[in-house]
This record gives sequence, structure tokens and C-alpha cells, in this order.
Amino acid sequence: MATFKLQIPAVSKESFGFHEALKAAIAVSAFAPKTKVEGAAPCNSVRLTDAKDASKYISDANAIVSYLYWKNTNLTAEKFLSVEHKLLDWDSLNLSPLLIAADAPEKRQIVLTLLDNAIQNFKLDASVTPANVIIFADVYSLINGPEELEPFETLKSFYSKFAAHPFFQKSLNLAIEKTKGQTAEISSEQIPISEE
Amino acid sequence: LPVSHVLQAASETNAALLGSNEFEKAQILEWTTKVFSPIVESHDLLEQVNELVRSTTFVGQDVDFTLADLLLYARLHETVASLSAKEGYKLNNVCRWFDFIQHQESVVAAATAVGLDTVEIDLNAPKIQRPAIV
Repeated sequence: MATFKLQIPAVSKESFGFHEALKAAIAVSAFAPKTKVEGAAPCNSVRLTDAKDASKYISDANAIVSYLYWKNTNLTAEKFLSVEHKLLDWDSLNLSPLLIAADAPEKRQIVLTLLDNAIQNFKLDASVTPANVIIFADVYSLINGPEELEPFETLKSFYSKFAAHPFFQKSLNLAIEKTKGQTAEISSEQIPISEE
Repeated sequence: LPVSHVLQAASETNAALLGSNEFEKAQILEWTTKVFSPIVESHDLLEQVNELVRSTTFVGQDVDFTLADLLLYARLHETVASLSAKEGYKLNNVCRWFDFIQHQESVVAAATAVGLDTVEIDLNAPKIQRPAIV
């Protein structure tokens, strides 16, 4: 069976590249913890590479999350496409352009409203699925602190439940360490908020 | 949601287009999404595919073309057609891949049906203009 390594480029924590790195880091921690992770990699974006054949790689965070999940659960890709793919589709084509442009507070409020509605419409719980990993990373990268989620009850509940998973802090440390090439320093704002 | 629709359609008509294992399926998911993404510029996509096919024949599979090859061919058609000889030589991996895909029998038929012309591609190095020796 092929083995893979995750390559994470050096990027700033405010960049879209960090957002992509966080998705992949959560997927590695949750679905494939034995995967080797390289920081400051010589690539432009996060990349999952066949350790024996560098010409075989996946360089899109959503596809990496999906693949590591399929590999871990033995769920067929066909079944996955029918169940979850619509949300990944929405994330890649509709939400990502908004996330890149959501630099001002009023724009963030619009995106958070969309995310709140999406979690309700797609009936997301806080279980560890590719869609939840991807949406959680979207929210984490968008907000400056958990207090921004106060007006969004569904989103706040989803975020706090997902952040309580034991692998989350490890994933965050991994993403920070590998994108910076140094030991992670976690501020109090990054500690998962409680339900109450 | 175009990616969902096109993947679903491919799985119903010719499942082989979605790859033969989970890794290929994930690659096809990646490139299909990039084809439809509004934040991926065609020239960036061209350079990404140029790197990917440096040592492979197809985008997502070793033995045959997949949905990713077909969709990338359609998305990149206009961009490849507009490349100068010098640009084409610089991006020779993707041009070689494009030329191979556009001459596949099934692709020729589909391209004709939707009005995509065959792009003339010269894979030879451009001639260097040397100063005349007097």
C-alpha cells in the first residue's frame, strides 16, 4: 500500500494558505495520524504526495481531507459523493471566494450568516466528517475570536463542539508549527469556547 | 453546484472516468473543482497542470484519460490556443498533454459537437534568430 507525506508550505497565519494547511492538519490528526508531515515545503500550496513517487500528489485541501477520510473509513468514493459532496462543492466554488475577500467586519458578518445557514440546511452535527472538518476550518480562519460567533447560535454550537474534539488542539499546533517552522504559541483567543 | 452534477453524471454513464482507486478519485475531485473554481485563473491552472503532467500521460490515471483530463481540456482550450510559440515551448508538458487529449477519438467527436477546433501545437523549440555572418 502506498504511503503519503503531507507537505505544508511556509505561510502567514492570516493567509488563505494557513486556512488550507489547517484543514489538512485536522484531517491528518483525525483520520491518518501516522502520516509524515513536512513543514516549509517547497510547494505553493498544501500537498499530499506519494512518498515513493513525487509525481503523484493531491494539492487541494478539500481533496486531501476527502482522500484521508476515504482511506481511513474504506467508504467508497461513490457513496461519499452522493452524501457529502454538495457541501464540498459549495465550499470550493461559492464560499472560498467570499472567505478570501472577507477582510472587513461587515463582510465577515455576511459570510458567518451564510455559514450559519449552511450548517442548518446541511444539518451538520459536530461529528468528524470531511464536510465538518472543512467548514470548521473555514470558521476558525474567518473569525478573530469566538465572541464573533455570539449572534449565530447554530454556528457557535457547531464550532464549540467540534473544537472540543481532542485532536483539534494538536491539529492547530501542527498547522502553526509547520507553516512557521517553529514551535506553536497558542493565545487564549484560540482556546475552544465552551457551550455555555 | 456544477462539480456534484458532473461527477454524478460521469458515475452514471462511465464510472471509469472517475478513476480506478481512491487516490485517483481524490485527484479527479481536485482538478474538477479547480476547473469550475472562480478563484483559479486559467493561466495559473495551465502552469499547475504543466507541473503535474511533467512525467505522466494523464492527469488522474496512469492508463487512460479521466473526467479531469476532459474538463481541463475544455477549460484550457482557449488559453492554449492563445499561447505564442515561445510560451507554448515554455509550457511544453501541458501542451504535449493537451495535444494528446485533443486527438483522442472520443474527444474529437465531443469537441466537434460543441464547436471546439483542433489547436495547432508545435512542440519543437522555436527557431533562434541568429545575426547574419558577414
